[in-house]
Amino acid sequence: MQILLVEDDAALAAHIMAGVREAGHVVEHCADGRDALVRATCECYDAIILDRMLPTLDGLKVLAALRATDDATPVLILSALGDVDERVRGLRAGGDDYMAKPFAMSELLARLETLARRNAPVAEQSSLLRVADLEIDLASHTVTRAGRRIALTLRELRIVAYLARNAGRVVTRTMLLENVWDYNFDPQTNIIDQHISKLRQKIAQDDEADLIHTIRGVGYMMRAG
Amino acid sequence: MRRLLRSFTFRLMLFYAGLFCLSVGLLMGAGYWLRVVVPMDAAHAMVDEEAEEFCAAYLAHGIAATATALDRRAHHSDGPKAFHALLAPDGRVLTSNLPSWPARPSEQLTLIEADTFVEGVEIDHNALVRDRMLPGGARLMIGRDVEEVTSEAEVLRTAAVWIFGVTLLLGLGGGWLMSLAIGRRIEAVTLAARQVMEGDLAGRVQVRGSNDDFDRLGETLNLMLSRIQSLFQAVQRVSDNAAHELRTPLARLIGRLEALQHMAGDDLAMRVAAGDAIVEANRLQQILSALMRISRLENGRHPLERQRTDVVQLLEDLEEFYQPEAERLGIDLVLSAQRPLVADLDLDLVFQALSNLVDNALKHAGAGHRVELSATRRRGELELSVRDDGPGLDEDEAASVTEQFYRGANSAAVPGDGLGLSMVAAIAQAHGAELLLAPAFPGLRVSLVIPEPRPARI
Repeated sequence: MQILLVEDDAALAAHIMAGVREAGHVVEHCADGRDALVRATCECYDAIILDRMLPTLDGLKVLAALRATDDATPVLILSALGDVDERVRGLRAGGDDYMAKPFAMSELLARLETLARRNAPVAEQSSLLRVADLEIDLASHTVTRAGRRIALTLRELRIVAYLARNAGRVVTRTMLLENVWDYNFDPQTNIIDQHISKLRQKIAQDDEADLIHTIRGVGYMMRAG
Repeated sequence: MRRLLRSFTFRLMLFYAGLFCLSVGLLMGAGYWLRVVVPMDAAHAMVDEEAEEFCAAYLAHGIAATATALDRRAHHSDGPKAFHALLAPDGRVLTSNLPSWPARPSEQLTLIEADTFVEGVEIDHNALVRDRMLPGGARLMIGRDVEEVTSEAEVLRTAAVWIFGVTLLLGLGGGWLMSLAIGRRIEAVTLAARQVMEGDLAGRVQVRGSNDDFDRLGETLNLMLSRIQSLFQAVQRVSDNAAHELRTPLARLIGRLEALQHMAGDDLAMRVAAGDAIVEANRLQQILSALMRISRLENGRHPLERQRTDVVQLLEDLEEFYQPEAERLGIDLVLSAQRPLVADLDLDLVFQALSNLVDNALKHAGAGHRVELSATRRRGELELSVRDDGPGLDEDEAASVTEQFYRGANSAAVPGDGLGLSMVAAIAQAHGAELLLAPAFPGLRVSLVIPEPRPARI
């Protein structure tokens, strides 16, 4: 993927670039808001990582200017302003995702992957998701595995659907929290793990292969085998 | 009633009315004294003097001469109309122009009604009479007409009742208006101060420009508020900058640690050490953002986004979110609330607060216990509570649990950083709600009592 990183802190920028390159993406860096806007409008990127506090032009203004030109490049806002209302402001300004500093590299990469895919012309809206022998019908709210009907709560269905939609990619706990639950809040304890373990028990019975894999220190991934 | 009596403006009104009545009373008293008391005293003196004169004449010239002198006095006398009666020792009336008199003489001066008829028209007279027994048994009554004075007194007394009533009304009315004007200006000062206390630092007292005492008070207060505002903003700038300046190095630190973890390759011990360090750095970051959030809430800088909320739905979502964790811990998590229960709340903040409370309850209750979520509405208040039947809290602890970084005496084994309840307290404060911790026998009941926002006054 072709990624533009807009970040004025040199050390942090170097760290992000190293991480993103290692994940196999091409990354360009600029440290200034005006410069970022020029590059973003001239070239075509798969995703933009945008810091909020920038010299010459504020990150949100860059974003607003970009969106005003009907540019729909996915933008991941990265900011030291991490409070919930700042997050909401960032998303309202046209950001596709919002991350507070400091962050884990793995989280950033996981989010980038799902973001960039959002733009890909895949049958995203398809109501039938399939991972290995697991079938999720979003229209009728049914989940079956190898023909066996699995009874899930609505929330569990949303978790499975989110994992399946991002099958093969890492989904972090905060990503699940943001996308499956409708509240912006920080749970004190890692409750998501309990939900996943319950879900696992329902999906994989007896000697069936586990479809939800734990990625240590990062999150979960749904894939066959 | 006691509150009314204690109110300064009410006392001011009473004081004003009292003072007003007192001054009118004094004025009327002076009028009464001049128009009634002084002329009456003069009449007294005159009657007494004349009585002495006729007494002396009786002793000197005998009863017949006295009767003649009395008749002459009745017809040719200066001043107010003269009255008299002379009774012989056997009770016979020798001469009199009084229509009646008391049967027994009295020591005091008496007022006797002595109306006369002139050509069929009644003329009112009121005689002030000295009644004396003369040596030898005769009885002499000497009087002067005081009709003018007594009728004046009566008019003044009737007027006094009316004037006093009207004065009282005017006094109370005037006092009420005055205290209203003063009360309103004091209220303006109070409102401005409260507005600032509630976090709106731009609140100021309105100055009328009349340069009176209240304007000066308002100006002084406004200067003080501006000073507070600038100090406060300076502190905010420092803490905002501190937070920002802390976040970026923290981000770099985590980045370096991640690089380190990556470089460790197959060295498992080093990988674990780096991983632990990352966990600690993340904890630091969590504490930092929780602190920032609490301080923003406390300063009123986190704007509430109230929206119409189905409270029962909110609790159901909360229960569902914590159910797997409760099952793992062997705790019975139940919900008791009945629809419809709708309120205007900041959904995310209230969910955050309740989530902290449930989290605490689950951590402290222990296996085999029960945690109950409930919502009730009564008298314009919405009460959201989380109740557990675990070990509970003693009173000393209940007072300090909302302090930042406070950790309970028995909670060494329980994970946490001592900010959960501070956050709840800050969210409660932002909603104008009350956070109550009460023993539930057994266990603890923590409630958020949220007042329903009244319709805004126009």
